[in-house]
Amino acid sequence: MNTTQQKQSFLGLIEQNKGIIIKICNSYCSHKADREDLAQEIIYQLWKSGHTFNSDYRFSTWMYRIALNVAISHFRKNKSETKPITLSEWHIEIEDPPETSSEKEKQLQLLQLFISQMKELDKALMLLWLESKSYSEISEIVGITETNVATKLSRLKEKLKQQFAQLQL
Amino acid sequence: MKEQDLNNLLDMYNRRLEETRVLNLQTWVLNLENYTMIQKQKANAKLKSLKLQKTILAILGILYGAAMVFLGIVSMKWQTIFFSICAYGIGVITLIAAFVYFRQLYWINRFNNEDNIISAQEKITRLQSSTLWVTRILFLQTPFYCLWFVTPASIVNAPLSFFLITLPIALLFTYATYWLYKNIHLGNAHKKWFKILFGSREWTHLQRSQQFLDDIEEFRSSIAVR
Repeated sequence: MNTTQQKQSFLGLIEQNKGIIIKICNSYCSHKADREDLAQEIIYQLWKSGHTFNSDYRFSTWMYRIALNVAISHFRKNKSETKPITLSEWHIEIEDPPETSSEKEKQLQLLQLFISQMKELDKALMLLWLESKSYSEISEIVGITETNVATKLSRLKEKLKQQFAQLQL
Repeated sequence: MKEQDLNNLLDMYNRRLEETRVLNLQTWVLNLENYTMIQKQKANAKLKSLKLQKTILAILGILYGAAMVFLGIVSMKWQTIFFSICAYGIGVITLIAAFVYFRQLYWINRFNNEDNIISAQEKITRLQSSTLWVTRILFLQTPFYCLWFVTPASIVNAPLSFFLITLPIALLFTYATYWLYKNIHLGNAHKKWFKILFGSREWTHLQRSQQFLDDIEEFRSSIAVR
């Protein structure tokens, strides 16, 4: 396979799985420029590691591992330079925002803020759950048992509920 | 907020995350070759300098440590007993530090983004926090540098001033070494002397590494806690 074909097939794989790259970038970086840097770094690391992909694993497991490892390392490296985050900074920019009530919008912004405040590993878990990954795959990606995944996720959701309750929303 | 409300909100959040306009994935994939070249140069330069630094320190450590152990062994006579013990002590401690540098090189070579998240992040974080370990070990040499010149003959014949100067200095350095060995750990990272000793940049990295190691431990063991 030549480079152009390789690139095309890689592009196809990236397109199929772009959801997770976008989610990871949005969750680990508050500023647009950082998100772009992180996305580029993830794509580069995936491209670089492509030849080492072991077909014993699912492609998505391999991809999530690389993407999350890159994101966590990137986040930790830049943590001290990050200014305190405001609610408006975390607001996700989208091209055609769907119609939502201002109350729902506020809740969404808060949810994003709460998720952004989670610890790196908790955030990874939450993202994988949002991607509808099975407990078994999450456990393979993160490196903890399935029972631990289930317990951690239920606690994270409980914590989110409490955070909303404190604000009486 | 009810479970169903939260799930609906999370679902809405999930969909919205995918609709963001921050990325231009296609262009980046098509420009991969240029980006790869730039990143490779950057990563190679960074990794090469880190590997080179650790390799030089490990090799120098082995050479110096082995030379000191050799000196300690060949000078093992009653007349030069202090020198011999000190050379031996310095040599062994330097060899241990060199071993730690080799272990760091091994970790650097083994780091792989494809490992599961806990394992990969733990490897890289342990590498950062092992800097403290080397420093603690190297401090242990200090008392040996204060006593190598003493001989049994000089103890017998020396004037009182010799004891009044040498002994307090040796005791002071021994105590300082013991104190530093005991206190150089990240639990003291917030203290002023620690920040002075390690410099603010190194300190920040170390503190963050320790915090993350704690998070990993907490993440792993959280089931048993409740």
